[in-house]
Amino acid sequence: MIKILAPINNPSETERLIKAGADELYCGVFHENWTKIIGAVPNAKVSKWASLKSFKELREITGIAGKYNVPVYLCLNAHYTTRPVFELAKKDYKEAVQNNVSGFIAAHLPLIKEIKKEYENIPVILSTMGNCFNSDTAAFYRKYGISRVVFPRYMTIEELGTVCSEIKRKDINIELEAFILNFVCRNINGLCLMHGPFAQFYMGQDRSILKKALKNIFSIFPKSYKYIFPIINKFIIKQKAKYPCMQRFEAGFYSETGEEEICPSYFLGNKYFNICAACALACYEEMGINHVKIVGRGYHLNRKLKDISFIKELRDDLISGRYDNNEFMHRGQESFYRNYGYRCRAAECHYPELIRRKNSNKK
Amino acid sequence: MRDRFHIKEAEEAIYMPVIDTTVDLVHYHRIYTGNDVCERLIQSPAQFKEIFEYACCYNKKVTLLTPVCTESGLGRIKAIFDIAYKSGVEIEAAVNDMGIMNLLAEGYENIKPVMGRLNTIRFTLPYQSHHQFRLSNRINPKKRKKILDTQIFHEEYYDFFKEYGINRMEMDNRVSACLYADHLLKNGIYTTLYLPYTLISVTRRCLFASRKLASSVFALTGCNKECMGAKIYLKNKSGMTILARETAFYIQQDIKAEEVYPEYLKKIDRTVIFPEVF
Repeated sequence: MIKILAPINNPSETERLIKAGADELYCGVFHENWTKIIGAVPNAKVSKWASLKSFKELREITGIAGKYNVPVYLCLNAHYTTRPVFELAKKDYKEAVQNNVSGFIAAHLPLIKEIKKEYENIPVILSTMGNCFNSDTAAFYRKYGISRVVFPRYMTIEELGTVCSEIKRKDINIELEAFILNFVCRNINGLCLMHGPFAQFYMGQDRSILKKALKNIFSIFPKSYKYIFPIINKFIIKQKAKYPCMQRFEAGFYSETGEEEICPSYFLGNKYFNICAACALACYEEMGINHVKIVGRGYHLNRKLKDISFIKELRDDLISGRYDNNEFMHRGQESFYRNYGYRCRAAECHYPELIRRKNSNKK
Repeated sequence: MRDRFHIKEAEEAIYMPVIDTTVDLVHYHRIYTGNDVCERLIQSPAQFKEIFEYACCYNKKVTLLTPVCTESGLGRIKAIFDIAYKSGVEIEAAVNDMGIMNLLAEGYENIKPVMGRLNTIRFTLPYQSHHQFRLSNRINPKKRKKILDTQIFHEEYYDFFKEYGINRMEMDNRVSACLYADHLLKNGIYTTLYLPYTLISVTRRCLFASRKLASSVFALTGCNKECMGAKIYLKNKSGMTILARETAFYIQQDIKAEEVYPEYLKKIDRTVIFPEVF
C-alpha cells in the first residue's frame, strides 16, 4: 500500500492530520540559532513560518504521533556550505534524535555520512535536492546508507517508470517516493541558487545600488531623508520579499536567425504554481513507488486536511481494485472537483501525458 | 577574449561542442566538449568520436562535460564512455550527477572523474560574491573567519575525493575560485575556472521550445534543438542582467577578479573559455 507523507508545521495539527489519513509526517525546525547566521537555512523551505520554532514543538509532535505509530521525519535538506552552518545542522540532528524523531530527509552528503556514522539505524531519506534522476544515483546513495529516495519533480511518467524498473532490475534495496500534490517551480531544486547563496549576492547587490542612490540624493538634498525614508523602507521590504526567481524581468529573446522578441514580464522561476499528480497514483503503484509526498508545510490546516483526504480517497479506490486506469483517472478528476471546487486544468497537471494517453485510449 | 582572461602558467582550455575550425588551437592545451546543463544536448557517439579524433590530431587533451541525466541520458553517456574507453586515451569527465560518478567507479579506468561545476556548487563550496568578500574585509577578523570558513578547511571533506580518485574541482564563480584555490591545492585538489559566465540555475523544462516568451507552457518532452543559437537576455529594474541559454540561467561577473585578487588567481590551475554570447 502506498503511504501518504504529509507536511506539518504546528503541533496542534498532529492529531487531525493523522486522523485525516497521513501515514507519515515531515517537518522542519527553524529555531533561533539559525537566524544568527546570515543566510543560513535549516532546510530547503526558506520561509521561517513553514517550520517549527523549536525542538519542544517537535517533541510534542513526536509524542502525539508516537501514540498512533506514525513516524515523523525532520527535513535537513539544505546544502550546508559553510562550517558554522554545518555544525548547526549537526547539532540539530542530535537534538532531533533526543526528541524521538523517526528519521531525516537530507541531501548534503557530508551530513548524511555524519548521521549514519552516529545513528546507523535511523533511516535517512534522500531529498529531492539530491537529484536522483537515475538508478545509478540511487545505487550511489544506497552505499551511504540512504533507505529511501525522493524523485525530483521534473520527470515524465515514462522516465520515472524507467528509473523504477532499473532500480528493481539492479536489485537496489531502496524505498521510492514521489511528489503528488502542490508547489512546483520550473528550475531543478537541487541545482538552483536562487533561494540560497545567489539570493544573498543578488540582494546584496540590490542594496549596494540603493545605498549609492541614497548617497547621491542626500548630498544634493540634505533634508530629504524625512520624505525619502518611508518610501525607501517600502521599497526594501518589497525587494527583500522577493527572491530573484520571483521578480519580474524584461526579457529579450534572440533566435538563431537574429529574430528578436521582447517580453516585458518574465519570471526566472515561472512563479510557483500548484501541481497535482493524483491520477498517477495507479502508475506509481505499478512502478513500485511506496510513498507519496504532499508538499505545503506552510499551508493552512484546512488545506492540508483537504489534500490528505483527497489522496486517501483515491488510494482507497486503488486498493479496492474496482477501476481500470481510465476509470481511475476519471474518478481522480471528479474527486478533485469535489474537494477543491474547480475542474483540474492541464497547466496544473504534473503528468499531462497521462491525459493525452487517456484521450487516445478513448478514441 | 582569451587575452582578457589569460592567467599566467594556467592551462588554457576551450569549450567546443562541435568542431570549429576557426578557433586557433595553438593557444589551448585542452578541449572541453559535451554539455553539462541539458541531457537532450548530449552528443551522439559519432559526434564525440569526431571531436575526440580532432583533438587527438592536434595533440590536445579532452574533457567531457556531463549533465544531470535520467536513465536514457545515462545510456547515451555510457555509449560515449565506451568509445573513450576503447581508444585507451586518458580523458577527463566533469561529473555533475552522482550516478555518473558511480558508473565511473565501476569501470572505465582511463576516464578520470572531476567534480563538475554543478556538483561543486551543491556539494560544499559556498557561492562567495565579491560583495560578501568586500564586506567581510570590513568586519572583525573573528567574524570574517566565520563567513569564509567552509568545509574545505577541514580534513574529512577530502574523504570523498580520495574515495573516487578526484583531484580537480570545476568552478565558474571567480571569487570562490580565487578564495579557495590555494587551500584546495594544498590538499591536492586542482581548480578549474570557467569563464566568463556563472551559472545560477538549471531547469529541465525547455525555455525555447514554445518560442513564445509569454507562454507559461514549457516543454519537458521532445527536443528539436530549438535552443541552438538562441538566447534570452533578462534585465530587471535594479540593473541585474541574466542570460538564459539552453536550459540554464547565467550571470556575467563583471568583477575583474584578476585585478582584485592577483595573488589568489595564481593558484588557479586551468581556465576554460566559453563563447561569449553578448
